[in-house]
Amino acid sequence: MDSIERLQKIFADDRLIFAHKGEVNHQLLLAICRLAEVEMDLTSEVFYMKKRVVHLIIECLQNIIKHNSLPEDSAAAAQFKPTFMFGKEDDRYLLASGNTLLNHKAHHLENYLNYLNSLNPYRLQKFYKGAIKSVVRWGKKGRMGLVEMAIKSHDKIDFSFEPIDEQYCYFTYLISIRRDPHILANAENLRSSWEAETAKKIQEGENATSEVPPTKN
Amino acid sequence: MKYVSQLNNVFRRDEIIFAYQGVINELISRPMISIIERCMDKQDDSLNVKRRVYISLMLCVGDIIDHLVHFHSDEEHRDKYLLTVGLNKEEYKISVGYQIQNEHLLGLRTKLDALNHLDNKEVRQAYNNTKLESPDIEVTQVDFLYLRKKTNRQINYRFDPIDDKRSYFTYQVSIARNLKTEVQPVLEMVATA
Repeated sequence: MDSIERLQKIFADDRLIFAHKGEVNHQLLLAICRLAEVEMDLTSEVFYMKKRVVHLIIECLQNIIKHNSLPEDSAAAAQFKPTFMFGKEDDRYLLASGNTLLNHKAHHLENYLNYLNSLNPYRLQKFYKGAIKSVVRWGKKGRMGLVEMAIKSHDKIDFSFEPIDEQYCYFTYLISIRRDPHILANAENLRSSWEAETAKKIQEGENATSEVPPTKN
Repeated sequence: MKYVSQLNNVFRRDEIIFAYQGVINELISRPMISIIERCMDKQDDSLNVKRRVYISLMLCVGDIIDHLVHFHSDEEHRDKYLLTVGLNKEEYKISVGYQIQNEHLLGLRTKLDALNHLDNKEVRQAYNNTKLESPDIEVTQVDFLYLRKKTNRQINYRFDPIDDKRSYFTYQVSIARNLKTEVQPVLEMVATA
């Protein structure tokens, strides 16, 4: 019963909505996305924001699926399982994810994340375009997810590395997705005008088909 | 980040695999149960154990929804529901927490104490009697009794006072992953009866 008391204290500031610990597979990914979607539906979140949050959840969970590297039979595996958390503050959604990583990869990743955090939005976009070009030209894959996270969240990626042993460490990062009112308003205007236009086109199409004379057999 | 690492530590220490805080209704419960089902899929437990966990979970969620509908229609306390699922080598643990009014506290305490004083055989008998007396009764109406019957274990609970009117009610049920050790005494009791 103490566990729930400890959790209650952490949950008390109302920031966290749900958290999951354990291996992630495709089915679990879908279920987690669905839960986040329903949660946002309940608060009548705008479509643009929902799309963005779900996209980033998928990125986080795919990172876990791809990069969690501690062998299942190792002693620390039971303790250091991957974690995923979803929360909400007044003007932002919070996504936190954790997985094990090889120490030599951690050093590169730390440098890379520091570099991404140092870029302003314009340079981040340029870096992203350059990265896409290198994928198209040279087939170089990987690390695109983190750039996308940095771009889409409009904020810096907070991260930490917790040592497990000589070989592995536990990598945790936190993304906060800001609800920028101007961007949201623009996106909603665009969406509503697109919906009105589509409805108009459909209406015109229906009128046009109703005017077509029936074909003779 | 400190907040995230704190939560990570609680998850590790208390072997929790899923936690949720907020409004729990029919819409939310489906993906939530689906997540826990997927977590159970990865375990090598017998179908019987998984079925018990699933039913217990459904009862806990049903209890929350029932509570939400009947007692907490006010916006202020709607998001104070907490559901966690824990897993270790011996058992699954399902914990539920929500606010109740102090006027219901005594009745609930008496009901739970009475259930916890019964042994497994008496629980079965009580359940059968309830079903015999009113066959049309729904499972949700006998939830704690059914929960006690399904888990074969006592229901741990506590009340933390919030103010003069309200308390935070928490209960925890556990389901053994090795049912042989749990079910055998019950079968023996039934055989001797």
